Amino acid sequence: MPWLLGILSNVLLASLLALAAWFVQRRLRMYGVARILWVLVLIKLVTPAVLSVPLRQSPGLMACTLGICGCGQHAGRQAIWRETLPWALLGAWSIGAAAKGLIAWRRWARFRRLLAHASPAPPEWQTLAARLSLELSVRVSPEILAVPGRLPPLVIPGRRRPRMLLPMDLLDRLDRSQREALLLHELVHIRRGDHLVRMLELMVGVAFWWLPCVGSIGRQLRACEEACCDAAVVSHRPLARRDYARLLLDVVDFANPLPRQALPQATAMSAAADLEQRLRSILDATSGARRTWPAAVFAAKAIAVGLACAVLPCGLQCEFVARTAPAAPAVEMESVTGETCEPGGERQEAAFRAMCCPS
Amino acid sequence: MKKPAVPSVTGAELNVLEELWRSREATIRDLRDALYPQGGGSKFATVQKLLSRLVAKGLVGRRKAEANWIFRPLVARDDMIGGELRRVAERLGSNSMTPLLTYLVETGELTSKERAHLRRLLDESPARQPPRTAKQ
Repeated sequence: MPWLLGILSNVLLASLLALAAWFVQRRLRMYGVARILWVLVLIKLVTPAVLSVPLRQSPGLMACTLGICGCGQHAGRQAIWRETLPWALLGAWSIGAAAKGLIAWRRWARFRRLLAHASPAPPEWQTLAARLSLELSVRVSPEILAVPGRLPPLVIPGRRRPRMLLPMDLLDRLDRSQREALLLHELVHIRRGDHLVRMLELMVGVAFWWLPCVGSIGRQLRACEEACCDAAVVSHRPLARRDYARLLLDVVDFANPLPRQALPQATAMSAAADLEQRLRSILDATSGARRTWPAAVFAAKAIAVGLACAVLPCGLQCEFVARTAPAAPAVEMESVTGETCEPGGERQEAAFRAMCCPS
Repeated sequence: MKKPAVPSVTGAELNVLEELWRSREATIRDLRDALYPQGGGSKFATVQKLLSRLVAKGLVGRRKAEANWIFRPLVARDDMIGGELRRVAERLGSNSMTPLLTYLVETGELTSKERAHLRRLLDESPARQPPRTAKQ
Protein backbone atom coordinates (compact mmCIF):
# COMPACT_ATOMS: atom_id res chain seq x y z
CA MET A 1 0.00 0.00 0.00
CA PRO A 2 2.48 2.64 -1.07
CA TRP A 3 -0.21 5.29 -1.45
CA LEU A 4 -1.30 4.86 2.15
CA LEU A 5 2.27 5.18 3.35
CA GLY A 6 2.68 8.22 1.11
CA ILE A 7 -0.32 9.92 2.72
CA LEU A 8 0.89 9.09 6.22
CA SER A 9 4.34 10.36 5.32
CA ASN A 10 2.83 13.63 4.07
CA VAL A 11 0.79 14.02 7.23
CA LEU A 12 3.86 13.41 9.38
CA LEU A 13 6.03 15.90 7.50
CA ALA A 14 3.22 18.43 7.38
CA SER A 15 2.86 18.07 11.14
CA LEU A 16 6.54 18.90 11.59
CA LEU A 17 6.08 21.96 9.38
CA ALA A 18 3.00 22.92 11.37
CA LEU A 19 5.00 22.77 14.59
CA ALA A 20 7.55 25.12 13.06
CA ALA A 21 4.79 27.45 11.86
CA TRP A 22 3.16 27.46 15.29
CA PHE A 23 6.51 28.30 16.93
CA VAL A 24 7.19 31.13 14.49
CA GLN A 25 3.67 32.51 14.95
CA ARG A 26 3.24 32.21 18.69
CA ARG A 27 6.78 32.61 20.01
CA LEU A 28 8.59 34.73 17.44
CA ARG A 29 5.46 36.60 16.31
CA MET A 30 6.71 36.69 12.71
CA TYR A 31 3.29 36.51 11.12
CA GLY A 32 4.49 36.88 7.53
CA VAL A 33 6.82 33.89 7.81
CA ALA A 34 4.24 31.94 9.77
CA ARG A 35 1.67 32.56 7.06
CA ILE A 36 4.04 31.18 4.41
CA LEU A 37 4.75 28.15 6.58
CA TRP A 38 1.03 27.47 7.14
CA VAL A 39 0.45 27.65 3.38
CA LEU A 40 3.34 25.24 2.88
CA VAL A 41 1.72 22.88 5.40
CA LEU A 42 -1.40 22.81 3.22
CA ILE A 43 0.66 22.35 0.05
CA LYS A 44 2.70 19.57 1.63
CA LEU A 45 -0.46 17.65 2.48
CA VAL A 46 -1.42 17.42 -1.19
CA THR A 47 2.05 17.20 -2.74
CA PRO A 48 3.21 13.73 -3.74
CA ALA A 49 6.68 12.80 -2.57
CA VAL A 50 9.40 12.96 -5.21
CA LEU A 51 12.43 12.32 -3.03
CA SER A 52 12.35 9.43 -0.57
CA VAL A 53 14.04 9.69 2.78
CA PRO A 54 14.69 6.15 4.08
CA LEU A 55 13.55 5.52 7.62
CA ARG A 56 15.09 2.32 8.94
CA GLN A 57 13.14 0.67 11.71
CA SER A 58 12.03 -2.69 12.97
CA PRO A 59 8.72 -4.03 11.71
CA GLY A 60 5.98 -4.12 14.31
CA LEU A 61 2.82 -6.16 14.50
CA MET A 62 0.83 -3.46 12.69
CA ALA A 63 3.26 -3.31 9.75
CA CYS A 64 3.18 -7.05 9.44
CA THR A 65 -0.61 -7.18 9.63
CA LEU A 66 -0.90 -4.59 6.89
CA GLY A 67 1.57 -6.54 4.78
CA ILE A 68 4.11 -3.76 4.44
CA CYS A 69 6.92 -5.20 6.55
CA GLY A 70 8.45 -7.27 3.79
CA CYS A 71 8.20 -10.46 5.77
CA GLY A 72 6.82 -13.34 3.75
CA GLN A 73 5.85 -15.47 6.70
CA HIS A 74 2.18 -14.54 6.99
CA ALA A 75 1.10 -14.52 3.41
CA GLY A 76 -2.42 -15.84 4.03
CA ARG A 77 -3.37 -13.31 6.66
CA GLN A 78 -1.67 -10.44 4.87
CA ALA A 79 -3.40 -11.22 1.61
CA ILE A 80 -6.84 -10.64 3.15
CA TRP A 81 -5.80 -7.26 4.53
CA ARG A 82 -3.99 -6.28 1.36
CA GLU A 83 -6.99 -7.00 -0.78
CA THR A 84 -9.69 -5.64 1.51
CA LEU A 85 -8.20 -2.73 3.38
CA PRO A 86 -7.28 -0.48 0.45
CA TRP A 87 -10.76 -0.72 -1.04
CA ALA A 88 -12.42 -0.15 2.31
CA LEU A 89 -10.27 2.91 2.97
CA LEU A 90 -10.76 4.22 -0.55
CA GLY A 91 -14.52 3.79 -0.27
CA ALA A 92 -14.72 5.55 3.09
CA TRP A 93 -12.51 8.37 1.85
CA SER A 94 -14.54 8.78 -1.34
CA ILE A 95 -17.83 8.98 0.52
CA GLY A 96 -16.46 11.52 2.99
CA ALA A 97 -14.78 13.66 0.35
CA ALA A 98 -17.82 13.59 -1.92
CA ALA A 99 -20.14 14.57 0.93
CA LYS A 100 -17.90 17.38 2.05
CA GLY A 101 -17.32 18.62 -1.49
CA LEU A 102 -21.03 18.50 -2.28
CA ILE A 103 -21.97 20.45 0.84
CA ALA A 104 -19.33 23.08 0.08
CA TRP A 105 -20.39 23.31 -3.57
CA ARG A 106 -24.09 23.70 -2.70
CA ARG A 107 -23.41 26.42 -0.15
CA TRP A 108 -21.05 28.20 -2.50
CA ALA A 109 -23.56 28.01 -5.38
CA ARG A 110 -26.28 29.38 -3.12
CA PHE A 111 -24.04 32.21 -1.99
CA ARG A 112 -23.14 33.07 -5.59
CA ARG A 113 -26.79 33.00 -6.60
CA LEU A 114 -27.66 35.40 -3.81
CA LEU A 115 -24.88 37.69 -4.99
CA ALA A 116 -26.92 38.31 -8.12
CA HIS A 117 -28.94 40.64 -5.88
CA ALA A 118 -25.87 42.69 -4.98
CA SER A 119 -25.27 46.02 -6.66
CA PRO A 120 -22.09 47.91 -7.55
CA ALA A 121 -20.76 50.01 -4.69
CA PRO A 122 -21.35 53.80 -4.83
CA PRO A 123 -19.04 55.71 -7.21
CA GLU A 124 -17.06 57.40 -4.42
CA TRP A 125 -16.13 53.99 -3.04
CA GLN A 126 -15.12 52.80 -6.51
CA THR A 127 -12.93 55.87 -7.01
CA LEU A 128 -11.31 55.50 -3.62
CA ALA A 129 -10.67 51.80 -4.25
CA ALA A 130 -9.08 52.56 -7.63
CA ARG A 131 -6.77 55.14 -6.05
CA LEU A 132 -5.74 52.80 -3.24
CA SER A 133 -5.21 49.94 -5.70
CA LEU A 134 -2.70 52.13 -7.50
CA GLU A 135 -1.04 53.03 -4.23
CA LEU A 136 -0.70 49.37 -3.28
CA SER A 137 0.17 48.25 -6.83
CA VAL A 138 -2.66 45.72 -6.85
CA ARG A 139 -2.45 44.08 -10.26
CA VAL A 140 -6.01 42.77 -10.49
CA SER A 141 -8.45 45.35 -9.22
CA PRO A 142 -11.42 43.75 -7.51
CA GLU A 143 -15.08 44.08 -8.30
CA ILE A 144 -16.59 46.07 -5.46
CA LEU A 145 -20.18 45.22 -4.59
CA ALA A 146 -22.61 46.51 -2.02
CA VAL A 147 -24.73 43.82 -0.42
CA PRO A 148 -27.73 43.97 1.89
CA GLY A 149 -27.61 42.46 5.33
CA ARG A 150 -25.33 42.63 8.31
CA LEU A 151 -22.30 40.87 6.90
CA PRO A 152 -18.81 41.93 7.82
CA PRO A 153 -16.86 43.22 4.78
CA LEU A 154 -15.23 40.32 3.00
CA VAL A 155 -13.38 39.17 -0.10
CA ILE A 156 -14.34 36.14 -2.16
CA PRO A 157 -12.72 34.59 -5.22
CA GLY A 158 -14.37 35.45 -8.53
CA ARG A 159 -14.14 34.04 -12.04
CA ARG A 160 -11.97 36.77 -13.53
CA ARG A 161 -11.16 38.94 -10.58
CA PRO A 162 -11.81 38.84 -6.85
CA ARG A 163 -14.94 40.38 -5.41
CA MET A 164 -15.06 42.67 -2.44
CA LEU A 165 -18.40 42.65 -0.65
CA LEU A 166 -19.29 45.68 1.45
CA PRO A 167 -22.55 45.84 3.44
CA MET A 168 -24.72 48.72 2.24
CA ASP A 169 -25.79 49.80 5.71
CA LEU A 170 -22.20 50.03 6.92
CA LEU A 171 -20.94 52.23 4.10
CA ASP A 172 -22.65 55.41 5.28
CA ARG A 173 -21.56 54.98 8.89
CA LEU A 174 -17.82 55.20 8.22
CA ASP A 175 -15.78 58.38 8.02
CA ARG A 176 -13.16 58.93 5.35
CA SER A 177 -10.27 57.62 7.39
CA GLN A 178 -12.14 54.42 8.22
CA ARG A 179 -13.17 53.99 4.60
CA GLU A 180 -9.56 54.16 3.52
CA ALA A 181 -8.51 51.73 6.24
CA LEU A 182 -11.26 49.29 5.28
CA LEU A 183 -10.41 49.33 1.59
CA LEU A 184 -6.68 49.15 2.30
CA HIS A 185 -7.19 46.07 4.45
CA GLU A 186 -9.21 44.26 1.81
CA LEU A 187 -6.88 45.30 -1.00
CA VAL A 188 -3.88 43.99 0.94
CA HIS A 189 -5.72 40.66 1.22
CA ILE A 190 -6.16 40.66 -2.55
CA ARG A 191 -2.57 41.68 -3.25
CA ARG A 192 -1.31 38.84 -1.04
CA GLY A 193 -3.63 36.35 -2.76
CA ASP A 194 -5.43 35.32 0.42
CA HIS A 195 -8.63 34.64 -1.51
CA LEU A 196 -6.70 32.05 -3.53
CA VAL A 197 -5.36 30.48 -0.35
CA ARG A 198 -9.00 29.96 0.65
CA MET A 199 -9.42 27.76 -2.42
CA LEU A 200 -6.36 25.73 -1.44
CA GLU A 201 -7.73 25.45 2.07
CA LEU A 202 -11.03 24.19 0.72
CA MET A 203 -9.30 21.63 -1.50
CA VAL A 204 -7.22 20.32 1.40
CA GLY A 205 -10.31 20.34 3.62
CA VAL A 206 -12.18 18.11 1.16
CA ALA A 207 -9.26 15.71 0.58
CA PHE A 208 -8.32 15.52 4.26
CA TRP A 209 -11.79 15.61 5.80
CA TRP A 210 -10.68 12.88 8.16
CA LEU A 211 -7.82 14.93 9.59
CA PRO A 212 -9.17 17.09 12.43
CA CYS A 213 -6.23 19.48 12.56
CA VAL A 214 -6.97 20.86 9.05
CA GLY A 215 -9.61 23.19 10.51
CA SER A 216 -7.13 24.42 13.09
CA ILE A 217 -4.52 25.04 10.39
CA GLY A 218 -7.06 27.20 8.56
CA ARG A 219 -7.78 29.25 11.67
CA GLN A 220 -4.09 29.85 12.36
CA LEU A 221 -3.56 30.79 8.73
CA ARG A 222 -6.37 33.34 8.84
CA ALA A 223 -5.02 34.80 12.07
CA CYS A 224 -1.64 35.31 10.38
CA GLU A 225 -3.30 36.86 7.33
CA GLU A 226 -5.19 39.34 9.47
CA ALA A 227 -2.05 40.24 11.41
CA CYS A 228 -0.16 40.84 8.16
CA CYS A 229 -2.98 42.99 6.77
CA ASP A 230 -3.22 44.98 10.01
CA ALA A 231 0.50 45.64 9.88
CA ALA A 232 0.28 46.72 6.24
CA VAL A 233 -2.62 49.11 6.91
CA VAL A 234 -0.85 50.63 9.91
CA SER A 235 2.37 51.05 7.96
CA HIS A 236 0.50 52.84 5.13
CA ARG A 237 -1.63 54.98 7.45
CA PRO A 238 0.32 55.21 10.74
CA LEU A 239 -1.72 58.16 11.95
CA ALA A 240 -5.01 56.36 11.39
CA ARG A 241 -4.29 53.37 13.62
CA ARG A 242 -6.95 54.41 16.15
CA ASP A 243 -9.52 54.89 13.38
CA TYR A 244 -8.63 51.47 12.06
CA ALA A 245 -9.04 49.85 15.47
CA ARG A 246 -12.36 51.66 15.86
CA LEU A 247 -13.39 50.36 12.43
CA LEU A 248 -12.90 46.77 13.56
CA LEU A 249 -15.09 47.33 16.60
CA ASP A 250 -17.68 49.18 14.53
CA VAL A 251 -17.86 46.20 12.18
CA VAL A 252 -18.18 43.80 15.11
CA ASP A 253 -21.02 45.91 16.53
CA PHE A 254 -22.62 46.20 13.10
CA ALA A 255 -22.62 42.47 12.42
CA ASN A 256 -23.67 41.32 15.88
CA PRO A 257 -25.72 39.59 16.95
CA LEU A 258 -25.51 36.96 14.25
CA PRO A 259 -27.92 34.04 14.15
CA ARG A 260 -25.13 31.56 14.60
CA GLN A 261 -24.73 28.01 15.71
CA ALA A 262 -24.12 27.49 19.40
CA LEU A 263 -20.45 27.85 20.13
CA PRO A 264 -18.64 26.62 23.19
CA GLN A 265 -17.69 29.35 25.62
CA ALA A 266 -14.01 28.53 25.25
CA THR A 267 -14.20 29.45 21.58
CA ALA A 268 -15.91 32.73 22.39
CA MET A 269 -13.29 33.64 24.97
CA SER A 270 -10.56 32.79 22.53
CA ALA A 271 -12.14 34.97 19.84
CA ALA A 272 -12.42 37.92 22.21
CA ALA A 273 -8.84 37.42 23.38
CA ASP A 274 -7.63 37.23 19.79
CA LEU A 275 -9.42 40.45 18.86
CA GLU A 276 -8.08 42.16 21.98
CA GLN A 277 -4.56 41.10 21.04
CA ARG A 278 -5.17 42.38 17.53
CA LEU A 279 -6.38 45.76 18.78
CA ARG A 280 -3.39 46.10 21.10
CA SER A 281 -1.02 45.36 18.21
CA ILE A 282 -2.72 47.96 16.03
CA LEU A 283 -2.60 50.61 18.74
CA ASP A 284 1.01 49.86 19.67
CA ALA A 285 3.04 52.10 17.39
CA THR A 286 6.35 50.79 18.74
CA SER A 287 5.76 47.23 17.56
CA GLY A 288 7.10 47.89 14.09
CA ALA A 289 10.16 49.75 15.36
CA ARG A 290 11.57 47.02 17.58
CA ARG A 291 13.34 45.04 14.91
CA THR A 292 17.09 44.95 15.22
CA TRP A 293 19.45 43.94 12.43
CA PRO A 294 16.92 43.83 9.60
CA ALA A 295 19.39 41.98 7.34
CA ALA A 296 19.80 39.21 9.91
CA VAL A 297 16.04 38.98 10.37
CA PHE A 298 15.56 38.79 6.62
CA ALA A 299 18.22 36.06 6.35
CA ALA A 300 16.60 34.08 9.17
CA LYS A 301 13.23 34.35 7.44
CA ALA A 302 14.72 33.26 4.11
CA ILE A 303 16.42 30.26 5.71
CA ALA A 304 13.22 29.23 7.51
CA VAL A 305 11.14 29.45 4.34
CA GLY A 306 13.89 27.74 2.29
CA LEU A 307 14.09 24.81 4.71
CA ALA A 308 10.32 24.50 4.69
CA CYS A 309 10.27 24.51 0.89
CA ALA A 310 12.93 21.78 0.85
CA VAL A 311 10.56 19.53 2.79
CA LEU A 312 7.84 19.76 0.13
CA PRO A 313 9.15 17.16 -2.34
CA CYS A 314 10.34 14.78 0.39
CA GLY A 315 8.60 11.65 1.59
CA LEU A 316 9.44 9.13 4.27
CA GLN A 317 9.95 5.55 3.19
CA CYS A 318 10.08 2.80 5.77
CA GLU A 319 12.81 0.21 5.42
CA PHE A 320 12.27 -2.54 7.91
CA VAL A 321 15.32 -4.20 9.37
CA ALA A 322 15.78 -6.85 12.00
CA ARG A 323 17.42 -5.38 15.09
CA THR A 324 18.36 -8.75 16.53
CA ALA A 325 20.41 -9.80 13.53
CA PRO A 326 23.16 -7.23 13.19
CA ALA A 327 25.62 -9.68 11.63
CA ALA A 328 23.25 -10.73 8.87
CA PRO A 329 23.87 -9.39 5.35
CA ALA A 330 21.82 -6.48 4.15
CA VAL A 331 18.28 -7.41 3.31
CA GLU A 332 17.11 -6.70 -0.19
CA MET A 333 13.41 -6.24 -0.26
CA GLU A 334 10.65 -4.13 -1.63
CA SER A 335 9.57 -3.14 1.78
CA VAL A 336 6.85 -0.73 0.81
CA THR A 337 4.93 -2.93 -1.51
CA GLY A 338 5.54 -5.97 0.64
CA GLU A 339 5.20 -8.25 -2.32
CA THR A 340 8.57 -9.85 -2.13
CA CYS A 341 10.66 -10.70 0.84
CA GLU A 342 13.96 -12.45 0.62
CA PRO A 343 15.53 -12.71 4.04
CA GLY A 344 19.23 -13.02 3.87
CA GLY A 345 19.41 -16.15 5.94
CA GLU A 346 17.68 -18.31 8.48
CA ARG A 347 18.79 -16.07 11.31
CA GLN A 348 17.23 -13.03 9.66
CA GLU A 349 14.06 -14.90 8.92
CA ALA A 350 13.74 -16.06 12.49
CA ALA A 351 14.26 -12.52 13.71
CA PHE A 352 11.52 -11.21 11.43
CA ARG A 353 9.18 -13.91 12.53
CA ALA A 354 9.82 -13.22 16.19
CA MET A 355 9.07 -9.51 15.78
CA CYS A 356 6.19 -9.62 13.37
CA CYS A 357 4.21 -12.47 14.81
CA PRO A 358 5.41 -13.57 18.21
CA SER A 359 2.81 -16.31 18.36
CA MET B 1 -35.55 46.77 19.06
CA LYS B 2 -33.99 43.79 17.38
CA LYS B 3 -35.67 42.56 14.22
CA PRO B 4 -36.85 38.94 14.26
CA ALA B 5 -34.73 36.63 12.13
CA VAL B 6 -36.05 36.16 8.60
CA PRO B 7 -36.87 32.50 7.93
CA SER B 8 -34.79 30.63 5.38
CA VAL B 9 -36.26 29.98 1.93
CA THR B 10 -35.44 27.61 -0.90
CA GLY B 11 -34.34 28.73 -4.35
CA ALA B 12 -37.80 28.18 -5.84
CA GLU B 13 -39.44 30.14 -3.03
CA LEU B 14 -36.97 32.96 -3.55
CA ASN B 15 -37.95 33.11 -7.22
CA VAL B 16 -41.60 33.53 -6.25
CA LEU B 17 -40.66 36.25 -3.79
CA GLU B 18 -38.59 38.00 -6.47
CA GLU B 19 -41.62 38.14 -8.73
CA LEU B 20 -43.80 39.42 -5.90
CA TRP B 21 -41.28 42.15 -5.06
CA ARG B 22 -41.28 43.16 -8.71
CA SER B 23 -45.05 43.20 -9.20
CA ARG B 24 -46.01 44.06 -5.57
CA GLU B 25 -49.21 42.00 -5.84
CA ALA B 26 -50.07 39.00 -7.97
CA THR B 27 -52.45 36.09 -8.33
CA ILE B 28 -51.29 32.49 -8.68
CA ARG B 29 -51.99 32.66 -12.39
CA ASP B 30 -49.90 35.84 -12.79
CA LEU B 31 -47.00 34.20 -10.96
CA ARG B 32 -47.26 31.03 -12.98
CA ASP B 33 -47.22 33.00 -16.23
CA ALA B 34 -44.19 34.99 -15.11
CA LEU B 35 -42.18 32.10 -13.66
CA TYR B 36 -43.20 29.30 -16.04
CA PRO B 37 -44.24 30.87 -19.36
CA GLN B 38 -44.74 27.44 -20.94
CA GLY B 39 -46.26 25.94 -17.83
CA GLY B 40 -49.59 24.19 -17.50
CA GLY B 41 -51.76 22.88 -14.72
CA SER B 42 -48.93 21.17 -12.89
CA LYS B 43 -46.99 24.43 -12.68
CA PHE B 44 -50.08 26.14 -11.28
CA ALA B 45 -50.08 23.59 -8.47
CA THR B 46 -46.33 24.11 -7.96
CA VAL B 47 -46.74 27.86 -7.54
CA GLN B 48 -49.71 27.30 -5.26
CA LYS B 49 -47.63 24.98 -3.08
CA LEU B 50 -44.71 27.42 -2.94
CA LEU B 51 -47.05 30.25 -1.99
CA SER B 52 -48.66 28.23 0.77
CA ARG B 53 -45.20 27.55 2.21
CA LEU B 54 -44.30 31.23 2.05
CA VAL B 55 -47.59 32.17 3.73
CA ALA B 56 -46.88 29.61 6.47
CA LYS B 57 -43.44 31.20 7.01
CA GLY B 58 -45.02 34.62 7.31
CA LEU B 59 -43.19 35.99 4.30
CA VAL B 60 -46.23 36.44 2.07
CA GLY B 61 -49.73 37.73 2.85
CA ARG B 62 -52.93 37.14 0.88
CA ARG B 63 -56.39 38.62 0.51
CA LYS B 64 -59.46 37.49 -1.30
CA ALA B 65 -60.56 39.57 -4.31
CA GLU B 66 -63.65 38.24 -5.99
CA ALA B 67 -62.81 34.64 -6.91
CA ASN B 68 -59.02 34.94 -6.66
CA TRP B 69 -56.41 35.12 -3.92
CA ILE B 70 -54.08 38.12 -4.28
CA PHE B 71 -50.63 37.61 -2.78
CA ARG B 72 -48.18 40.29 -1.60
CA PRO B 73 -44.76 40.14 0.06
CA LEU B 74 -44.59 40.87 3.79
CA VAL B 75 -40.81 41.11 3.97
CA ALA B 76 -38.56 43.67 2.34
CA ARG B 77 -36.25 42.46 -0.37
CA ASP B 78 -33.08 43.71 1.32
CA ASP B 79 -34.01 42.09 4.63
CA MET B 80 -34.69 38.80 2.93
CA ILE B 81 -31.59 38.73 0.72
CA GLY B 82 -29.41 40.11 3.50
CA GLY B 83 -30.60 37.46 5.94
CA GLU B 84 -30.02 34.68 3.43
CA LEU B 85 -26.57 35.96 2.51
CA ARG B 86 -25.59 36.17 6.13
CA ARG B 87 -26.84 32.67 6.86
CA VAL B 88 -24.96 31.11 3.95
CA ALA B 89 -21.86 33.20 4.64
CA GLU B 90 -21.81 31.93 8.21
CA ARG B 91 -21.88 28.37 7.00
CA LEU B 92 -19.17 29.07 4.47
CA GLY B 93 -17.08 31.07 6.88
CA SER B 94 -15.37 30.55 10.15
CA ASN B 95 -18.02 28.38 11.76
CA SER B 96 -17.82 25.88 8.95
CA MET B 97 -15.20 23.39 7.89
CA THR B 98 -15.18 24.77 4.35
CA PRO B 99 -14.11 28.38 4.57
CA LEU B 100 -14.16 30.38 1.34
CA LEU B 101 -14.51 33.89 2.65
CA THR B 102 -11.85 36.30 3.85
CA TYR B 103 -13.42 38.53 6.50
CA LEU B 104 -12.21 41.89 7.72
CA VAL B 105 -12.91 40.64 11.21
CA GLU B 106 -14.70 37.54 12.41
CA THR B 107 -17.63 38.79 14.38
CA GLY B 108 -19.83 35.87 15.24
CA GLU B 109 -18.45 34.76 18.57
CA LEU B 110 -18.42 37.89 20.71
CA THR B 111 -20.97 38.68 23.38
CA SER B 112 -22.12 42.24 24.08
CA LYS B 113 -20.09 42.22 27.32
CA GLU B 114 -16.92 41.31 25.46
CA ARG B 115 -17.59 43.97 22.84
CA ALA B 116 -18.07 46.58 25.55
CA HIS B 117 -14.77 45.52 27.12
CA LEU B 118 -12.97 45.92 23.80
CA ARG B 119 -14.56 49.31 23.22
CA ARG B 120 -13.39 50.41 26.68
CA LEU B 121 -9.91 49.18 25.91
CA LEU B 122 -9.84 51.31 22.79
CA ASP B 123 -11.16 54.38 24.57
CA GLU B 124 -8.74 54.11 27.48
CA SER B 125 -5.51 53.15 25.80
CA PRO B 126 -3.57 56.01 24.23
CA ALA B 127 -2.07 55.25 20.84
CA ARG B 128 1.60 54.78 21.67
CA GLN B 129 3.96 56.76 19.50
CA PRO B 130 7.17 55.31 18.13
CA PRO B 131 10.29 56.36 20.03
CA ARG B 132 11.83 59.41 18.40
CA THR B 133 15.44 58.44 19.12
CA ALA B 134 15.06 54.91 17.90
CA LYS B 135 17.98 54.02 15.68
CA GLN B 136 17.68 50.32 15.23
